[in-house]
Amino acid sequence: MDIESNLEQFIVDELLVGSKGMKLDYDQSLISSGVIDSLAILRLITFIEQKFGVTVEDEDVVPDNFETINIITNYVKAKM
Amino acid sequence: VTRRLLFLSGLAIFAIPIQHASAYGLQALFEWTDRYMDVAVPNYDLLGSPTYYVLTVLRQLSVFSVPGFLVISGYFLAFMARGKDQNVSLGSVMPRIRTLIPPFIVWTVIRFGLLRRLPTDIGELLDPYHFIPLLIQFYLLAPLIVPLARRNWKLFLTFFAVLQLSIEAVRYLNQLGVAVPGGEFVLAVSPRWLFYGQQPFWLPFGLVFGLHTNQFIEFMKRNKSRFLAGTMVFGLLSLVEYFVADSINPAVWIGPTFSGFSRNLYIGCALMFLLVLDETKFRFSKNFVEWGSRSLGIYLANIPFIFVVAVFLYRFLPWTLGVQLIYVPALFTAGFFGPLLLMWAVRNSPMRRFYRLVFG
Repeated sequence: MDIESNLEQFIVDELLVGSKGMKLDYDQSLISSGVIDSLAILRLITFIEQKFGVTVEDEDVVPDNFETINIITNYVKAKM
Repeated sequence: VTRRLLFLSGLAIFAIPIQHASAYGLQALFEWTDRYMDVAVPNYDLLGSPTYYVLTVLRQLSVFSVPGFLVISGYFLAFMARGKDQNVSLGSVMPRIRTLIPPFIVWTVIRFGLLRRLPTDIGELLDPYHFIPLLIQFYLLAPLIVPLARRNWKLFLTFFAVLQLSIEAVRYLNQLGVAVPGGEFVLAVSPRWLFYGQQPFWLPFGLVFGLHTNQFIEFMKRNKSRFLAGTMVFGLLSLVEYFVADSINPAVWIGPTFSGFSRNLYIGCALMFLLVLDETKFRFSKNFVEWGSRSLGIYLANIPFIFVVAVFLYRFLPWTLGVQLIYVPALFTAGFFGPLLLMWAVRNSPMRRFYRLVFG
């Protein structure tokens, strides 16, 4: 499974529990749509670190890196 | 720092049912004594007993929970402030507020349904889940406080520290039976569900921590052992303060909610120590991280779970109220693992589509 699909699955299964089957637009803002909250951003980062073996530095925790699935994917690829 | 924040969230949510269960324990000790002893209530014969001290220690030392959640929420505001919307407009926080309101309504309705009555005033309505109204107010204030935190964070934090300590000072004197001019008014307009009421400092602290994470982490790492020592010393002092205040207070017992000044230093030291603690060395670290990720659901559901078990024990097994080694752990288990079990059951049932509505 590619990075985008992994991220989508995690977001739908864990952050949007109950939305199974929902197809997320990879360019949809996760922040302005309310998907990401205080715990969700922490869980998402923990998932990225565990799943893709990258370290998300504190200074990288900015909306510019976590706005959409496509943006997160680019960030993860750059860190790999 | 993200994993440590989840770990902190896990510890904080673990402490919430401890706080509630120990409060029930104290109530069973003094107000429901007639359920297991032939006495009139309230009865304070057990004041000063080892059980009383253990319950008080549990309750006083678990007070870092809500401040911990507020720090995490402040960190999230800082995350949002590091984006294009640097001042965090209302439009940015509204989606978050919209997801907080339904679970708050659901659990408030459940709570009053269990009590089989309506709230008598707005305070009674908002107080049990006061963290949610607090958070919503801080989110609404974000466009105002985020620019101020950016401009001069030291002055910003000083303002909120002074605000917190000033209101606490009035409450403190009131609890010691000292009359303060205008004190009654200040207390009446500063309930804990209003952002300035009892702990206005912690979310702004989390916000500043998030805006200057590296600077703070460096400072905290350098002083890690001092913060650990501070946690122990001020934790102990907060207990001493409680017992001294209890002896000065004109009532037989000061009650479980007294908060002294040392408590703030205890909470501050504990939070700063936990934010730089290498949690991976902690045996149950993974469990706490996992629980931390479900903290909102546990926070919401723990009150009805504890209430139901407490009513059951009161009615059908009243002798357990006199055996606190059984009573308090039973309530804690209900308040902590009950919500986890319910969340798991909802996730794995056709009710799954309501999960976010109920647990946030």
